[in-house]
Amino acid sequence: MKNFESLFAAYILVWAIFFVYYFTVARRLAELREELNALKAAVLGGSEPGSAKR
Amino acid sequence: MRSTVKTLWLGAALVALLLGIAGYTAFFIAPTERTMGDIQRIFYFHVTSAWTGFLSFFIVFIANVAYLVARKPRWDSLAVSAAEVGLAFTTVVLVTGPIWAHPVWGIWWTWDARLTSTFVLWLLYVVYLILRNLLEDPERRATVSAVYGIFAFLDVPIVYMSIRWWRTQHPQPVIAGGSGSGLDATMWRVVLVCWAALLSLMVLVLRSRYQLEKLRHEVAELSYEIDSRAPGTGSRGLARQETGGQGGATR
Repeated sequence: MKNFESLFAAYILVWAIFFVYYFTVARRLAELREELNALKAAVLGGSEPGSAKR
Repeated sequence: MRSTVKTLWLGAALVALLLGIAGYTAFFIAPTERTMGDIQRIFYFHVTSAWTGFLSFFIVFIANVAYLVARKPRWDSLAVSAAEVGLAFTTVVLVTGPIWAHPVWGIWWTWDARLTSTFVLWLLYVVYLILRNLLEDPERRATVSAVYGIFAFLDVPIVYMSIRWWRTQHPQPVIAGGSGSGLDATMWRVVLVCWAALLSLMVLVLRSRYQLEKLRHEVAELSYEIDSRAPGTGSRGLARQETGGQGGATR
């Protein structure tokens, strides 16, 4: 297959961009969920968010 | 919440399967192009990424207009989410283009109308995201970025029409390009499979990104509530890292 390296590089980069972006969003989402749970616990318990279970 | 996470991973698995099928059709089902050979297989993700990017920026445009009309923060959240997703797809276009160009044209890049207008489009939406980080007041941020977003969208038709309006190094349109243009029937089917896969990916990422904005909003509101209950004890620092502000529209 002619130019296989270029074709392979293009597809690897396409997958890498999509994969990295999706997992960055998913990670930020998980972190924010944890933060929200901590804050909810703080509001319900009347304590500081740092003392709530995270 | 656990079911939402499960749905998200199920959606991701389905999209991964669709992308796998799309990759298979692009490599093994699509016929080899006569002049360029196998390197032309980049086309199936290069062009469809461009279309998906355009669609994302159109969603930004609609959301920006809707925000200016209704002043509802959810439109601002949708706009920023779609702008980031559109930027990811346009990055794919700008990365795959030069890799395709080098063996075919002998150069990685040239400042012709199509390539330049696409690069400008990418820059416009990078600036859109930077601009949002520079503005502190949520309402002002949403209004200024909505006006800017409407202006930025003007480049999308310019990118699309550039190969019709000007002579470019970039090939003339093969799809909707008038007489003499067109695609082989199998190539067309592969394009549609690849576009369907990328559209499903766009929906998945846009949904997650929009959820992220909604959560940021909730975190900001809760932080504000805690701060107003016990002034000076500072939950805001914790929230600000992610939200960048409190209440109102999102970053």
